Amino acid sequence: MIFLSYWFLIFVVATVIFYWAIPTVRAKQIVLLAACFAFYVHFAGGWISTIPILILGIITYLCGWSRRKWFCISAIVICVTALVFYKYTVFLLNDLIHAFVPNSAEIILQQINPVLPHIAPLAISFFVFEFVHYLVDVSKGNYSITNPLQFALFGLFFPSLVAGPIKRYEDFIPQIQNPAQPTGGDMVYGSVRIASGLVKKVVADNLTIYLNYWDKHFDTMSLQWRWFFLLLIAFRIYLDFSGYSDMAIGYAQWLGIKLPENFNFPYIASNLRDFWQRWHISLSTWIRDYIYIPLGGNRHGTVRKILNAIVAFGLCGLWHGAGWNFLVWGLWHGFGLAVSSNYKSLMGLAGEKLNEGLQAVPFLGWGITFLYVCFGWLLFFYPIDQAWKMAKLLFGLSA
Amino acid sequence: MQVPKLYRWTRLLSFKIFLVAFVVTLISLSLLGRWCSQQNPYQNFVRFHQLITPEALYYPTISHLRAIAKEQLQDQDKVGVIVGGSSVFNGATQPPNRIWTKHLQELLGDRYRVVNFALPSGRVQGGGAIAAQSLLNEGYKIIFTSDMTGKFTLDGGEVYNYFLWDAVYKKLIKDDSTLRREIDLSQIDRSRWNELNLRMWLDSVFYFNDLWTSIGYRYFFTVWNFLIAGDFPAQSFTKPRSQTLDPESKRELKPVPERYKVLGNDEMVHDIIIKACNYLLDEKKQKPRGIDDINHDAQIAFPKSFHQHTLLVINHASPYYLETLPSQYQGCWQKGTALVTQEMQKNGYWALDIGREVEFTAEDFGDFLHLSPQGGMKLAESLAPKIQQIATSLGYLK
Repeated sequence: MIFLSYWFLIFVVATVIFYWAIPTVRAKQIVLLAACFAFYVHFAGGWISTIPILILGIITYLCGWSRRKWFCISAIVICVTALVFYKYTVFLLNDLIHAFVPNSAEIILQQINPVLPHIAPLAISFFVFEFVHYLVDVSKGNYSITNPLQFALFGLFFPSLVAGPIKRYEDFIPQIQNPAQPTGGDMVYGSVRIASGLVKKVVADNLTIYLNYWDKHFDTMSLQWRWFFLLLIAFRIYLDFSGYSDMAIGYAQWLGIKLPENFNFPYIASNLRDFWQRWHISLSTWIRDYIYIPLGGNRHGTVRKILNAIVAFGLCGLWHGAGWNFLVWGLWHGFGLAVSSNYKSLMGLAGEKLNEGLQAVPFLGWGITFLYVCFGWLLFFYPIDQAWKMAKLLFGLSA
Repeated sequence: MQVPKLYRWTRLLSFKIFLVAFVVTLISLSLLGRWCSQQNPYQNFVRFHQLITPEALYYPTISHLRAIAKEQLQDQDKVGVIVGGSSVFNGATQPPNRIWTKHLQELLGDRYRVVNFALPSGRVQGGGAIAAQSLLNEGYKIIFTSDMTGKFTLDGGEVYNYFLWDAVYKKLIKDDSTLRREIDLSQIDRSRWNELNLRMWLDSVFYFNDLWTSIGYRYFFTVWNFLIAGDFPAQSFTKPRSQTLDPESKRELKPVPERYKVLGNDEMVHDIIIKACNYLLDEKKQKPRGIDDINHDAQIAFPKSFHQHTLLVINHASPYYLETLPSQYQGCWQKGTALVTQEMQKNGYWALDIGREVEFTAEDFGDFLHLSPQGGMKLAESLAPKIQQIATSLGYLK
């Protein structure tokens, strides 16, 4: 966890001091970019790992600068191909293609193994999404970032580089172009955000060790403790991820940059749509804008709307990790969203009555949503067969 | 983008006041940490059992080791016998009321104070050795003794290396440039090494580890570890470590040979012994030899002046395994320990091949290497006259 090191703290304090000590905007941008490079090289992977992000960044910048639709589309294809190559090649060959043509899959894997990196470049999922967002918006006619310095800052901004929030360039670039001197209140807010993130991380990291130890004993726990365990899983991921986002937002605030919010009390959501408007907000809005809506959104009837939601969330699940359980987790949410958004129209009178009941007893809607999300976390964290076993055990059924 | 409602109150605070409050709080906590570093929070200290060591994510500081030793030594007239090393000298398989160091204290009498700072998976270099050196620098009469299970190590190993830098940055021992260079050259993970140095330097200024460890021992501790797991979810996250029981308190040794079956089959342990012999003696002609590594570390790890204050005890293994080794390896362990003893003596250390000094039996061991309470008594009886001899040679007993 990069943010949790003393050298990182020294680095960020020094960066903030230098950044605000420099009077001119251009010099500020150069200092910040140098800091972003230093962060990536020293903390986030080393010189070799910068090559993919540099190459993809240059391609994205040049194609965006050209403002030609086909150049932008080509750049999108290159970025997505890079993401698939680094993150999903082994999964595709081992798990997907192997199931149909095992011999061919093994041959291909043997051939490409020497050139396959052992681990994907850090943050590839995040910076590819930001590049794709930029290219799509430019291809639709939005302005492009002509200043390479500003574009580089958009791609490499260190507080959000590793794990988001996923930025929108229309919000980010004006703040870089006209950095407003932070007020005292801004600095206090940033500091409190960082402290809040640190506290969440302490709790989350403890929960992680705790859960990793006890999950082997899940089948011997009593029923109530199994449900308690499920609750802890839900809070662990929330505290871990939102804690990281808090720190990212706080450090960005120190630099006078406002990053988008990523979490808004997701576990008080009254339905799944509400949940996804509160959980990893920057990702869910990206999925909506760049997958769901381009697929057709809700513009082609109920069946297509449901299908689009399921596909969008399936891809969202895969984005989180190269594994069947992530895909199924995404589909779980896609399916749940489809049902919760359409049951009224699909179930006719029964649907209307059900809706009235949920409106009359809001706790019911909250409870169903929370339980649905919690069961989804079993898929997120465990292989499918183990998640299924645990789900059965939660209802007192034998594994 | 608006500030979330939860954080809007922060906008009302003046940054100057916030900064002043932050600095005042930091200074106050640092001063409190400094005060804690001089206090001994471990009442009725016997040893650092597993649940109050880094194995359970609890990190005692060098300041606390010194505070424990000073409390037990009471004044500079007593001869302090600081025990370091691994779980063997920590007394694994010995309950705290029958630990070998208690018997050693009884044998040595009131002119001596025995303090056990040996640690599970510890090495010769470690908290005990560093505490001993720092107290010697302050004019205390100190003899340091450690078991030698495997390597000497220059910095105490990956788990305990923080003790060395804790003492160096707090200026409790000299920053030996040769030692530092050798340790620096051996680092594979540079970022971890840099982070360790920065962390220990910051701790020498702010004393946050002393404060946290004191709070964690006495009042509450928030770092969970599977070693304190108990039954789900009974063990709380916040129990202070003073409320943890020494795991060895509940141990009951099975009779021989059942107690040896816990480790697995005999062939597995024989393999370990044979590998150790090959490492030390280069039976398979593999360079570098283990003994060369040990010699190198033994020459550099401690200042030369400390060698004469150090008694190294080269461990014996249980006769249950040694006597059942394949015939071509019979006696290899003894050859190895004799070689190590000889080499350590050449380096100016007091060294004792305990297997030659004591007639150990299978009942004297709790397992392959660790001594049972009975074996611990024999160890103490063998060490006591040696320690008295060292004390006399150092002029401690005038």
